[in-house]
Amino acid sequence: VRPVDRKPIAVALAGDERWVFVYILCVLLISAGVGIAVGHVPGWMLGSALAVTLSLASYFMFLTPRRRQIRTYARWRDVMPCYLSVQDRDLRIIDTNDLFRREFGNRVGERCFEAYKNKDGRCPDCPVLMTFEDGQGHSGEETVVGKGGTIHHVVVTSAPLKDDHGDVVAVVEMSMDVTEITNLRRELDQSRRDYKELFGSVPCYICVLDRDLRISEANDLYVRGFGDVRGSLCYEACKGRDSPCNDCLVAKTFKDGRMHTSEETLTTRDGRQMNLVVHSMPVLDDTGEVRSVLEVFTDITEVKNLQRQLTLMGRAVTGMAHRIKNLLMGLEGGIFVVNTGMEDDDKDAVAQGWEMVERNVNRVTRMVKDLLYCSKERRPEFEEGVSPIEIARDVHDLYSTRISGEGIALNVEVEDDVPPGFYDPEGIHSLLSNLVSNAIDACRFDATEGKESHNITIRCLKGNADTTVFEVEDNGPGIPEEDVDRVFEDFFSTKGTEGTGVGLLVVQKIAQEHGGTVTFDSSPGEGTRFTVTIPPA
Amino acid sequence: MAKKILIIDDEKDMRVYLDTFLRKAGFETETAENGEEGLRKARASIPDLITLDLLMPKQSGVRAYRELRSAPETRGVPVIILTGLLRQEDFFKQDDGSLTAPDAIVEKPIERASFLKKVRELTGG
Repeated sequence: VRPVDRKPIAVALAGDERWVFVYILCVLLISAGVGIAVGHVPGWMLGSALAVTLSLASYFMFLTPRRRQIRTYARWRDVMPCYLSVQDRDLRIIDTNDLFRREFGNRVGERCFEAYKNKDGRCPDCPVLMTFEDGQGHSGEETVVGKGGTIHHVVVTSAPLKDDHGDVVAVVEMSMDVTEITNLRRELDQSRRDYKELFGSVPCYICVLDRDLRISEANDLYVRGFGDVRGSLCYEACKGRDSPCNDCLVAKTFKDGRMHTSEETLTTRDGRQMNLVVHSMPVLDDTGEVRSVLEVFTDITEVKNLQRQLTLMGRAVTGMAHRIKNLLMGLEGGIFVVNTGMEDDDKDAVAQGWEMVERNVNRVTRMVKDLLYCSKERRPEFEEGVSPIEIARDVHDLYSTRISGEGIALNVEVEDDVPPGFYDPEGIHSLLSNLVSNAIDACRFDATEGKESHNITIRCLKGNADTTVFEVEDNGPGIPEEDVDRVFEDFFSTKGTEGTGVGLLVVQKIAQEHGGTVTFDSSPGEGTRFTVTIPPA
Repeated sequence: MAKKILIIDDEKDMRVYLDTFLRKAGFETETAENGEEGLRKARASIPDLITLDLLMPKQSGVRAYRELRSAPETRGVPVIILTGLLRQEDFFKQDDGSLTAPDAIVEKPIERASFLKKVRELTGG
C-alpha cells in the first residue's frame, strides 16, 4: 500500500501542469540563452520556435488526456442523478456535485463520515476504503443525514481515480437515493407481516394448496387442528383418503377460477368431529392465472348443534301438540258423556264421564309436572333417610293396578340391603314412573310376531362402590338400531298414552341431580333395559 | 231402522265418547278395542260405517284397515279414519302406498258437528 496521497486530484493535476509549464519555460530559457550566447538572431528565433513547438507537443501529449478526463468528470458530475463525492485516502472530501451540495452543503475538506453520515468513525465495510485497497469498484447500503436532518437511504458505489502509474489517488463515491424504495420495501415487509399475522390469527382453518392438492401453507389454527401438514397432500393429511375427494372444491377453483363452497365433516388429530363450511378461493398470479387455491374452513359445529336442538325442539313441540290434542279429546269426551248422562238422568254415564275427566286431568298434571322437571322451574328437594326400595315398590303398586288385565306383568325385585339415603323422593318416584310408563307403552305397541305376553321388571339393587342401581327392564319391541343414538335426544315420543313424552329427559335430569348416570341396553325384538346408577351422597 | 256404526279404538275414553255421541245422534253402535276384534265384529255384522283409530298398539289399526279394504264383504263399508297425527300423509307413509284412501280422515280432537255431518253423509242417514 502506497503512502497516503493527500493531494487532491485537482491539485495533483495543477502540479503536473506546473511541471509542464516549468519544463516549457526551461526549454524557452535554454533556447533563448543559447540564442543570446551565440549572438545569432535567427538561431535564437529558431531555438524559440523549436521550444514553442516542443512545449505545445508536450502540452498535448502530457496534459490533454488528463484534462479531458477531468473535464469529462466535471461535465458529468453535475448531471449525475446521485450524490457524488471524491474522497482521498483519509476519507476527506475533495470534491462534490451540485446534488450533493444541495442536500448536504459544501463539505469539501471534511471527512465523509462526519460530513453526512453523522458518525464519529469510519463505517464498517467502507466501499471507498475497499476501493483504495484493491482498485476495484464496491457497493453497499448506508443511511445518511441531510442538511435539515432528513434521513436518506442510499446505495453507495465507489470507483477509483487512478494516476499515470495506475495508482488510486482518489475514489469517487456515488450514492443513489433509494429512500422511496426502502420505504416501499418496509411497507411491503410490514404488510407481509400483517398478512402473516392475520393469516395466523383468524378464527378459521386456512390452508393454501397447489395444483397437486399439496398443502403449501397453513395457518396456526390449521396446524393445531390437523398437525403440521405443510407439504402433504390435502386428502391424505386431513381426510385420511388415498385419492382426491369426488367433489373436490379446490380442483373446481383451479378449473374455473371461482369461489366454491360446501359443507364437510372433518376429524381433528385429537379426534374431535367438526362440521365445517369450506370456501375455496383462487390466488391469481400477474397474468391472472390461478396460481394456488386458498381453502378456508369455518367451524360451524356449534351452529349445527343448535340447529339440531332447534329441530328437536320443533319436533318436541309437534309431539306435545299431539299429546295435548289427545288429552283435550279425552276431556271433551268426558264432559260430553257427563252432560249426556245428566240430560238422560243416567247416573252410570255421569260416573263414566266423570272418570274420563279425572283420568285426563291426571294426565295433564303429569305432563305439566314432567315439563317443569325439564325446565329449571323445579328444584330437587333432597331428604335424609329416603328408602329407594320403598319408592320402587310404590311405583310398582301404582302401575300394577293401572295395567291390570292388559297382558303385561309388572314385577319388582329389590335387594333388601339397599340402605336408605339422601334422595329427592319425588324425583326418584318420577324417574321410575317415567321409565315404567315408557316400558308399558313399548309393550302395548309391540307388534313382534309370536310374543304372547309381556313382562316389565323394576329393580332396586346395590351396585359397585356403594352405588344404588335402579333398573327397568321390559321384553317389548326394543329400540330400533337406527334410533339408538337418538334415544336421549329425540326425546319426545308421540306414541303411547302412559308416558308423558318427555320421560327420558326427566329421567336424565333427575339422575344428574343425584350425580348419577342413565344407560340402556336394547335388542330389537327382545326388549330394553334402562339402568340408573346413583352414587352415595 | 237405525244405521249401525262400528267404533274401533284402543283408548277407552275415545270409545265411550264416540259411543255416547253417536248413540245420542240416533245411531246404533258397537265397539272394538283393537284391530282383530274390530275385524271380527265387522265380518259378523256388516256395519254401515266404521270409525277406525289408526295408531293402535301392535299396528292393528293399519292391519285392520288393509283387511277391511281387501275382504269382499267389508270392502264396501265406508271407513272414517280418526287420527291424532298432524299430517295425513303420515298415514300413507306407514304403508307401501297400495292402500286406497279412506272415505274420510278426521283429526282428533273431533269437531262434533262436522263429524256428525260426515257420518250422516257416509251412512246416507
